[in-house]
Amino acid sequence: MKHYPFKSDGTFRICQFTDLHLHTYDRFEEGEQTYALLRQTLRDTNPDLVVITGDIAWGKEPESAIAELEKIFAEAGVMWAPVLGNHDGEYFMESLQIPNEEGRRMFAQRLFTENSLYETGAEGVDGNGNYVVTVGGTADKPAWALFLLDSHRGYFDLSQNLWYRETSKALPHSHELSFFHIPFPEYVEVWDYTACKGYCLESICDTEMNDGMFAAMVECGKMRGVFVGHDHINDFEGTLQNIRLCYGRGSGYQTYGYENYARGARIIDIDASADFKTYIYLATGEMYEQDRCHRPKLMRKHQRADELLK
Amino acid sequence: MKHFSLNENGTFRICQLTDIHLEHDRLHEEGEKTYALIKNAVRDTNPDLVVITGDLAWGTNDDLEIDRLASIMEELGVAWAPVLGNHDGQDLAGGGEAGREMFAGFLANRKGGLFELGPKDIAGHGNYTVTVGGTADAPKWVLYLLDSRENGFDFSQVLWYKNTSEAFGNDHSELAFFHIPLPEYDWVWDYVDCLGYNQEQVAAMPLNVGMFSAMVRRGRMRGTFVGHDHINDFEGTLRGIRLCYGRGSGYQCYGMNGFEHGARIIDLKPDGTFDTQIYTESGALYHQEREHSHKVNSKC
Repeated sequence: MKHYPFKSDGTFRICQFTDLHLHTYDRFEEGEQTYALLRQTLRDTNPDLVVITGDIAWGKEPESAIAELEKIFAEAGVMWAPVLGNHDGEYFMESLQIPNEEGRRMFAQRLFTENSLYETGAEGVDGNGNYVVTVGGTADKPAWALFLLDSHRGYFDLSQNLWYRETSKALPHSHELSFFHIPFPEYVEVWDYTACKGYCLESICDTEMNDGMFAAMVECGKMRGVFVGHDHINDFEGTLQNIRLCYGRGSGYQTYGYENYARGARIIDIDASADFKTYIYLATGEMYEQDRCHRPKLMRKHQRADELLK
Repeated sequence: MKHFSLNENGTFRICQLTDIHLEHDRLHEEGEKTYALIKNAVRDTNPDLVVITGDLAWGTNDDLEIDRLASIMEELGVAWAPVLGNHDGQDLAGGGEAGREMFAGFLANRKGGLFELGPKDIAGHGNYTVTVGGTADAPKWVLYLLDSRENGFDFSQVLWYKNTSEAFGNDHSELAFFHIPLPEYDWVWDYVDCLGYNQEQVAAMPLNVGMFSAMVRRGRMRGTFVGHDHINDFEGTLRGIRLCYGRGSGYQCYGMNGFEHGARIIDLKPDGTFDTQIYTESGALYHQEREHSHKVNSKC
């Protein structure tokens, strides 16, 4: 388990890239644009850690894309912590005609590069890449635990739920963040029922069912923010049960976006307190705190539910 | 754990009563109506088992009501399996867990009563199973009676369900009975065509701990049966599981003018599926036909 201390000013900056969709079979110019955006973002925001919330590379030879990513991060002197998206591993599945699970595992094997913090995860925990990175305090008593999770192709397994609960209770940290690819259903709830900041330009494509991950986070009581990808043109943030549910900002040009909706990244600044600051960074170089407020359409039905969700 | 044989033709009838809300010290006329309904439902539909999905009694002296209920069930000669609702125990020992525990004590050890407190290390009072058909070790049906507690399932109950289900193997069918609807009940009305009535908002568990997901993954659950919302009795199918409400059975609590009290009758079939009907206080027994078309289409 990798541990980072806070910087001398007591802070730590995480840069979340998402949905890079790097591939080498077409849209070559766009591929270069994606790499350029990564370099520019790193230069402008100077993060202490990069997280990539899935859909990293698909199509022919994900190896070359991963190698290029490794080069970019090595040059910038920053480590990177990836998690798998639903598309990662598809190349292997299609070309070798092997099952889903095998394709994902093969993709994951390519993520063990020098500057990558990727870990497969504990034995018996379903998925590729369920691991923790700690920040602040000391390695023995960190301030933050960052949970990197594999949302597979749209679900969380009970074994992941159990592992999260056990790890959250066993480690002595005070606060948590979590990063994974596919939003859980509470993202739909938060957009429908609460005032959010940022954009929801497409339907939220959440996990097939509610596997109880959000409930686990609520019960463990340390989660402060969750960060996902998958829906390239959503970047909103909303709070449910004191947990800030956030989307990253789509970072890949070789995949769908939306006109006038710039690619970018999400920047997260943490310190010893429970609060964190987060900004959207755009390819234009702009970096800002979201304030575009969304008024929910639906009224909460039950008083009791209201009370519980305060 | 009680094991029942199937009837000769491979069937088994369950009568689900719900929200009987027996109250000792008030609304005595209404209370008599509830008891009358229970007797009529059992005599008219002749079930092999009665399940009561919670909110059995409230107010003071609820132990006396349970005594009376138990003796009626004994008189009727039918086994009965209750689960706790959110109100059960609220007026005992200061309410909360202590009250619920005390209430659970009233249900245990009744002649013909199948209530079990359940494993101590999982949340809730009264998480237990009843098996039907085949043998006790290899049954055709496993019925889960679960405590939905004051506000919904705990994760420990999800784990218990999964482990218990796996121990029975992969050849059986399952049903589950509990009080508060799963969050997926709220969902199903909007996304899927349903049968029956939705006349008050679905007061589902506010936190989704993944019980429905666990049931879908196991692939054995055929139907879930809840109460809590007295004037809903609808059924909708999600991922192969029929999410059903019971039909409100209690007169000492809110209902709706014109909406008859009753019960839900569930007939287990030899092919591992079930048939279900609504029984009403006027003695009618019918398959629900009142259709509701869903409004929303799935997003992705």
